[in-house]
Amino acid sequence: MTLKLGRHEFADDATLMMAIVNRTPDSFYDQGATWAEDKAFDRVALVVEQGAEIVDIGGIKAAPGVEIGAAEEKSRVVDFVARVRETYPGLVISVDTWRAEVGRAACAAGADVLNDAWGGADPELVDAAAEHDAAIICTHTGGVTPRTRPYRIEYDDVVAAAIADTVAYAERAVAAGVDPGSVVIDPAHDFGKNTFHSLELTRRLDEMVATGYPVLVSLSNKDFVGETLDLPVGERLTGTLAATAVSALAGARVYRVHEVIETRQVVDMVNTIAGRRLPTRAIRGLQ
Amino acid sequence: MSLDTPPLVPRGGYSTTDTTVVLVPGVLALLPEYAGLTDPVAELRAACLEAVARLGEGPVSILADPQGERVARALLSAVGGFEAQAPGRLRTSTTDGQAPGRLRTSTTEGEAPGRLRTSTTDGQASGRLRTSTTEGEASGRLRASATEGQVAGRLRASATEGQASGRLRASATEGQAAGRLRASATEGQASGRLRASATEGQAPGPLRASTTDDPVVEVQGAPATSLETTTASYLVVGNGSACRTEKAPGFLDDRAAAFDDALRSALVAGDVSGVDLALGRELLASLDGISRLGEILAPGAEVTIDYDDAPLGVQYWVMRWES
Repeated sequence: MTLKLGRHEFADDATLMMAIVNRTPDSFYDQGATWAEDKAFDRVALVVEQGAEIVDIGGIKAAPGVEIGAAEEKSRVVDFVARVRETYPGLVISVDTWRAEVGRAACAAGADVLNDAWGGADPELVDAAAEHDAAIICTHTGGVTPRTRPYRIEYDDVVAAAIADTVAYAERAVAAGVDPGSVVIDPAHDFGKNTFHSLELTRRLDEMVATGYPVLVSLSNKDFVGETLDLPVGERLTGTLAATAVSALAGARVYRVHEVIETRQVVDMVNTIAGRRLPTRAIRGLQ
Repeated sequence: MSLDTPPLVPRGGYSTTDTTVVLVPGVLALLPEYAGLTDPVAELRAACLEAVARLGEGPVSILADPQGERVARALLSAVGGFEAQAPGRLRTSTTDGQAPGRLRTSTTEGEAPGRLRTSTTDGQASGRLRTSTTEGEASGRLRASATEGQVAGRLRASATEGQASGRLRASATEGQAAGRLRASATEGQASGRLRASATEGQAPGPLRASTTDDPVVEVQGAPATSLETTTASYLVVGNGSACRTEKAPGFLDDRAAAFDDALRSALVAGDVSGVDLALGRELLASLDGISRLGEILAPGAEVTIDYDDAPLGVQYWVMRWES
């Protein structure tokens, strides 16, 4: 099925780079580097130039911290979405929010995708997507409260749980009126999961791909990479790209990333090895 | 692939010949299985396709080494006028109003090399059908068309287990012959049926034939005009040296440029008899097809150079000879 992300459509075999753009003062990776609107806008310009098909704009960091109300979240996100929309009509704009109120305002300002990293914590978010013909990212968090860290969470089978929850969420979205071609599922590495869970999800990602829903992976610089290699934020790119390669081989379609160029190269290389993509230019020995 | 001998000369009829020869290089990057997202030989490909399209929709004989033959088939398929399994050559001749003279076609790559021959004289027909198969089974199909005094023919042939059945159809316009031939064979023998019809009172009426061991053909219908047709299209695959630069497949060889210049001159002159084939092979030139140009080029054929460059250290030409 053609993937429809708001105003934009992509072929079945297309892989997409979703570049993270934080409108936050405290996100873990960049520590507020793009908190100022102009800095965030510069980041959008950069990732567009690097080839990102999607930007994922977030106004609240995932980790616990100062509570940010809906009004404040909207003030960080909505006008910024409108500015990006106006400047980059061909760019897919995703907004990282769990709140329906924020989602509605963002879609009205031009967002194409609602990226619900918190697994449907606000049941009306699907309605917001449906009302605006937007796409929705259905994640698995194990039912945790937004902006909490996992604590002694266990699963009988984390992959089965991720599939059951994301597919149920997807079906709920479709029932609410979201286009079936606009539903993406995400196992949500690190969210409601320990490192072993995230590693197993990576190892068995093909089972999520087999659901038929396009799969998004958000691996970039996460703790499961850091714990696996005992490396701090800032030194996790190689590990991230290794996890990216495994996910690409399994058939992931969308990659939520900090580093666009490196991820694109890995995904293209793996998909070409897998026979799903052609070499860009092949002449060696073929003259 | 072997070439056919000339068709029978009709008695009291007329003949026409329309021969087109195209040369393309055996660049594997032209094959669809080696396609990338971008085309490293886009300009060359465009020139090849434009030239190959001029070979028309009839059967085309390929002169090439095995890799070059794959390139030829890919190009012919790409221009859409070629049924990929049957590079062949069709010849038809009639005298005294009788229908199809001689038809040959062959196929390779696990399909049947098939061979069909018929000839007619003096209002009667003797037919001879030959088919052979390799790799156990085979099927072939050949189509040809012509106008303005030519014959359009259509051939279908299939064979299994060393046996063969064939079918030929031909039609023509403007008072020329239209013929249809069907033939089948079992156990090394052949029974065939030939049918022909024409408009405007010109060519043979129904013609039917069947053979067992020694072909026997029964003819029905009235004699009409005399006709001989020879249509020939050739796709030759070959190229110059692969040693033109340090990054060339064969590295830089100081003799390469001069060799390519000499080969170009020979191609333009339509006479490759003086080409130093031994040196060419040393320089990794692809000459199997080119060395046979003398068999098919008519004296005085008009030559056109559509492409002449060595962008990847290999000398490529796209040329056409028309007569």
